[in-house]
Amino acid sequence: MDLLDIQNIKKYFKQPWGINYALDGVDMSIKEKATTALVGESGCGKTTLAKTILGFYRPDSGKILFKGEDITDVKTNNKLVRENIQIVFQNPFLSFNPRYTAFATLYEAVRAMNNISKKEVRGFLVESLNSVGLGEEFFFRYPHQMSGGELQRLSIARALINKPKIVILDEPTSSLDISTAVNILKLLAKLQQEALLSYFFISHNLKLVKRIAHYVFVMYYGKIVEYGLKEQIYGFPRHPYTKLLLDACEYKMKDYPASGSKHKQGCVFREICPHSKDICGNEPEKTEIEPNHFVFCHFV
Amino acid sequence: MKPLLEVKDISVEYVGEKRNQALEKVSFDVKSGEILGIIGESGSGKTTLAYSILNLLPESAKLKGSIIFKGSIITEFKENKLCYLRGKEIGIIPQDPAASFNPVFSVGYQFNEFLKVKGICKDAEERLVLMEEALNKACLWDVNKILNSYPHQLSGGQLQRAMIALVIAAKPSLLIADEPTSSLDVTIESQLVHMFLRLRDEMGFTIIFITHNLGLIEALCDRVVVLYQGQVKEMADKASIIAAPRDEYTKSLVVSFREVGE
Repeated sequence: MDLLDIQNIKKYFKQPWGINYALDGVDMSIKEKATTALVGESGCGKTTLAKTILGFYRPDSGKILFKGEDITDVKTNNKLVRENIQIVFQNPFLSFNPRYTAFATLYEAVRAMNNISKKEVRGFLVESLNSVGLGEEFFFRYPHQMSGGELQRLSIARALINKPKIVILDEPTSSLDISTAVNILKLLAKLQQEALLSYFFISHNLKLVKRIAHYVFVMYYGKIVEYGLKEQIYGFPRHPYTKLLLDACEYKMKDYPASGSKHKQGCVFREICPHSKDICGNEPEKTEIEPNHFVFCHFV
Repeated sequence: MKPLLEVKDISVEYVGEKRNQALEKVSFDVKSGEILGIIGESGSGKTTLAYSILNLLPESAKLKGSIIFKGSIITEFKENKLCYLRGKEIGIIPQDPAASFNPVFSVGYQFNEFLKVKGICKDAEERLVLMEEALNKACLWDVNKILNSYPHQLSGGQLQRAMIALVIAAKPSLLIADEPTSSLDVTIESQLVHMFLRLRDEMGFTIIFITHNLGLIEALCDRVVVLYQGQVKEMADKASIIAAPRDEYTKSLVVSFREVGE
């Protein structure tokens, strides 16, 4: 059984100019002790999915199961979700209270879950900060006194402090320099082995994903278009959108027609797709082209 | 042939509560028709360098050294003469497009005003054609929607491309792009890389491209300047920097780039 099972989640937002189909029937699973990555361009619904899992948004329909238990409605299962699923946000500068020191930030996180006295907690917090590579000099610093990389480490420490099973990483390195990003990825890999964590890694950068992920899901405007093992997605990409994303990472992609279609019916990618035919007006079936590798396209 | 821009021993110091040496004796030159990449991590002085070329630094910054553009020493220019250069001769694409448009005017109004004030095009109808051409060059096809929108109604990518269109409409001899793609996702980034290459090949633009991403340098630039803590660490052709970096910092940069890639 998968650790987290997302079944046919739909989330629409009503906007003045029409309905935004942010998530349009997403099926996904997160495996235990592995990294599952979700890739796609800005605005395709990656962050909406993360927020829906955490219960910040209530889906219009569909189910989310954690170890077989329904967590779609967070109100009934709040404790289960908060104890087991944590998140690291994209922008570290916006994810901390500016009036709290590093220590106070973590203390608040610990207190939310455990009954632990101030005296006992100190050793615990020191250990937690050391595990993400923050030394003594950082304990009493405020967010504005730390750099982006240091704050992102603190953000990871806060997510891990109550020993969750799943950590959602919402573009954790995209606001960082490349050398800092590599260090953060190394840290994440180390912590995963130590604590047997499952990561749900959200990114638009297929190069980063290649380094860290075991499973890759490719999303385009609210729908999953292809998923499989990392080796399958990088070795034999089958959906035209996956191929396009891989080209974009190498800066080979030259032209990309104006923003994509947001059709309710049929293949979402059909307006941009070079192979588009009339049949694409119908909903593409899920096709298993090799074990574990699924594609939603009429031409595979 | 004489270089288009020569930067000689530029030092910039921010004077305040704490003194901060942002640039220290930076020298390089830009030849006509090339794309020069400037790479460095956050805080290495890349943006300070871009703004010092146009003397747009804040008052707390003290600039020493000389910058020679088309044979004249522009560091000695008075403000009104510099004003003429800005936009018309040297265009700059800032990092954050949302911060560089005025939120209370439509994009079209600001674009039109820029062309009018700079005296690039006197006739109102010609201006409209010019704007449409420039937007198309920057991969924006829905011209009317873009021009009639206010900045908050457009996405980051659209706004950045609108800003690029505005800058290239004036056909400056030198284009400074200060991390134009770092807030955009890979699909738009890839398009813009090819747009910059087209600008150089088809219209003969000279471009200074500032970035922290070695991948972009590899795809786009002819020569590279490596900046670290305000100093030039290495300056060479793209191929030799990536294949055989000499400086310690450049080596670590190339290593971390490869680590992400493979």
